[in-house]
Amino acid sequence: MLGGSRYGVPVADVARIVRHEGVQTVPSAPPAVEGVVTLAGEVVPVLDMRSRPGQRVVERPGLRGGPPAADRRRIVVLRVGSRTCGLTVDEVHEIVDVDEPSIEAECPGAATQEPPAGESPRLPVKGTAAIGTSVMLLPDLAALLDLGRMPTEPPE
Amino acid sequence: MSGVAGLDDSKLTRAFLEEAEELIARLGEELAAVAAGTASPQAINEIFRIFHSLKSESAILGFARLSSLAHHVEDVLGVARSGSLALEGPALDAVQEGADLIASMIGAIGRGEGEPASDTASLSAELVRLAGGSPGSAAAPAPDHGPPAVGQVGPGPQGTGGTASPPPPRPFTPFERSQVAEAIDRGEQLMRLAFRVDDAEPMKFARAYLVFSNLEQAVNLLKVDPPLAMGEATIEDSRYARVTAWFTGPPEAAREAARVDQVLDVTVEPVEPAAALGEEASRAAATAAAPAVAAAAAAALAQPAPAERTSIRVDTRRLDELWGLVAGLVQQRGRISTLSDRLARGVDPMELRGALAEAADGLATISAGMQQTMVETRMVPISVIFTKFPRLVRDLCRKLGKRIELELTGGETGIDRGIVEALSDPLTHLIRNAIDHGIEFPEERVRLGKAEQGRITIAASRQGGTILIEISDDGRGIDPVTVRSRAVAMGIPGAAEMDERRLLDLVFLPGFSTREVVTDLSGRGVGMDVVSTRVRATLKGEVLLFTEKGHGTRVTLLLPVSLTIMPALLVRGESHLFGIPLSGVDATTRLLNTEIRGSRDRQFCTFQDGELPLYSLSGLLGRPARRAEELEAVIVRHGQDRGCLVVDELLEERELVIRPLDDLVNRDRLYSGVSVLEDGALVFILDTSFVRGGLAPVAGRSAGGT
Repeated sequence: MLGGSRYGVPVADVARIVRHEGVQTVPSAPPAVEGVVTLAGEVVPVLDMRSRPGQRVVERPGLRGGPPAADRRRIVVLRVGSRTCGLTVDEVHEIVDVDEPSIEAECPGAATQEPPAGESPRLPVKGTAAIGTSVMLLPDLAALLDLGRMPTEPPE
Repeated sequence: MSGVAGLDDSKLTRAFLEEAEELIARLGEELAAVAAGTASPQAINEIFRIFHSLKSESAILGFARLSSLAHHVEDVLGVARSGSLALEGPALDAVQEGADLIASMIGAIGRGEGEPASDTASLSAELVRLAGGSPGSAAAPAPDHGPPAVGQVGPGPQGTGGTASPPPPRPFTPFERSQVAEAIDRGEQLMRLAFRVDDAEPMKFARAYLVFSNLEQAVNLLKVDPPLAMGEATIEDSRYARVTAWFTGPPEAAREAARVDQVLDVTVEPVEPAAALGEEASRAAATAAAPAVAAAAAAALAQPAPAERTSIRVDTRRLDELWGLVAGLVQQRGRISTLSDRLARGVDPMELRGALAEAADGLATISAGMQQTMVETRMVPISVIFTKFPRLVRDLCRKLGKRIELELTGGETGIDRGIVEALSDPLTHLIRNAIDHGIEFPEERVRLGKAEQGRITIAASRQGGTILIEISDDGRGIDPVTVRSRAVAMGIPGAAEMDERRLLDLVFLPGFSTREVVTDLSGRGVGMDVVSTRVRATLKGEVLLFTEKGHGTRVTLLLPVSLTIMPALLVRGESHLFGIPLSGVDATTRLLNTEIRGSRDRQFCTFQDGELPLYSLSGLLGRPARRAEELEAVIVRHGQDRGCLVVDELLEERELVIRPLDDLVNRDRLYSGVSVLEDGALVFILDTSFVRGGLAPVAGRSAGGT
């Protein structure tokens, strides 16, 4: 659960899930980077996709009814290729089986859609999957890790 | 040591590589000593012994060319040892060349490329000639020294009548090898049976299969080539025109089994156990008569999987040390859990303070010891790369007609394995440059009033956490005037007014020097960019160039002892901790606000009679610089560039364990890594290349530096 939307990541890509604590900020890191966390001696970057470019996440406990309480927040540590990256999420739900056929790859515009005001994160999405009656977004993890490679400003 | 040992080859290959590496390092030292005339009388015995070991070990593993080459060198050394040949001049060169070639072949094997098909022929011929006796009897025919493993097999009656050349032999599978090994272990004689099927017979497979099934009944069949598996082949398969089978058991029974119509030219012969698995190599050699094929086959046989360099030799004393430290660690853990238990039982924390402090001290000592020991296990003496330089100098001198004396000091200086490997190329390059372009020809030197013989000195030493390597020559030096005119011609901004130090740093720019300037410039430009890139980017070190026209040039490399642990200066800025590697720190200083000049975005300060561009840590991080009467600053260096970096607070010097930092959080490449302190705090290691940008704004982002 992330900013009100439900996301699914392949279990195989998840290295571990840890409580959201001990994240240290990195001076001059891009806005989407919340910081780094030290896990078993490894310094792992943590992305907070709830934030929008240039805007820091403000703690708003208790907003929108039930507290999106800080203690339900987790860091999902993803291992994509040789790289490791943490993703801050509001909540971790459950492991569901996704039927291959229910996956709709490349739903056009999903990544570029203007999110509802201040709600939805800007997580690059590569497709959706139907879970029962609801829909789950499948983030594009490779694109996520490439965020760090994109220049802050257009090259001169 | 028989063929049996050759079976478990991946392990054996690794062991061989480790051993060979040590042998070669020692060989280099011995040969360098001989070349320098400082060798002990026993040196030649030692060198002989090393080549002998290399020969036998490589033969066991089937590295035929390697073994054969080592054998030829050994012969020369044998003659030299008997006193009838002096180990100097061409003989020494040939031995040295043999050592170099063997080293490079072993390098290739170590990289999993198998035994390379290096051209050993001309060198071998030269070695044979040298071993043949005194120069007068140089024409003496050379005995054919085949490598023992393959040589013992002999060509054998391979040409069994057929005319078509057979397909390349299939290597033994691990299972087949183990079968052979077991048979040999049981003391059985390994036999080989070969036959061909009459050309007129259309159903070759069927005929071969008959023999196969007979053999299976009669003897212990180990391997058949090509394999006779039903379903894999068609009845007419022409691959079965010639078949070879390996077995143990009575040869008569085998011959009887092969008594099948249309099966011709049956041969049964024993195979030497020691060479059991060199079989295919020799067969390939006999049929293709191409040594390269033999070598390739032998290498393929001995090396089914690339032997990755995953193990290193560690002095057992180091392991003992480490073990002692681990024991201490366990003990400290016990102390701490006792303390924790007592706390849990409600003991007053104040009472435990002393004990806790003691335990903490103990842990600090142990962890420091472990860190030190681990660093040392990765250390090798820098002499491992020094050893090849005397020969490089001798060779180039001969080619160019120069006379140069090479002096090497500090070879015992320990340096991280990883660094040493990456250091070899830049050093070679620097020496080559010094010989090629630095040192003048003898006549010119005499004319200039210099000693006829030039001098190159390579000195290594350790200063704290930094390794210092100086390569100096007493040659013609670099003329700044030439550099300047070249720089101006290239349109490098500010070249006309640049001070000499900055001017010289231009030599490190890619493409700065071209062919026509090489001579004018003493060629220092060629490849110098490669040297500086390697040293600065890969090794996180520094290259400094000092030169005096007419008197010589000195290149100083400053390198960290280890890439993973390096001493750094800790500073604070914007409530974060940063580390600056000491190799990039010139000095620390205090600045008064009044010492800062320049406009808002281009500021300077005066430091030791010079002006330095001013940076601030806050500025690098994109925050406004802080204002204060007095500022703390670090004089930071990157190559020839220096800058004054204002920080919020100067802290202490520390050894830091550097970890990589993902690009995701390091988009501006401001950091070269990150370190985690004991309390979990992060130290971001600053990459000092930001000073390369020349003048940069004090405030605002300036990390790009381009």
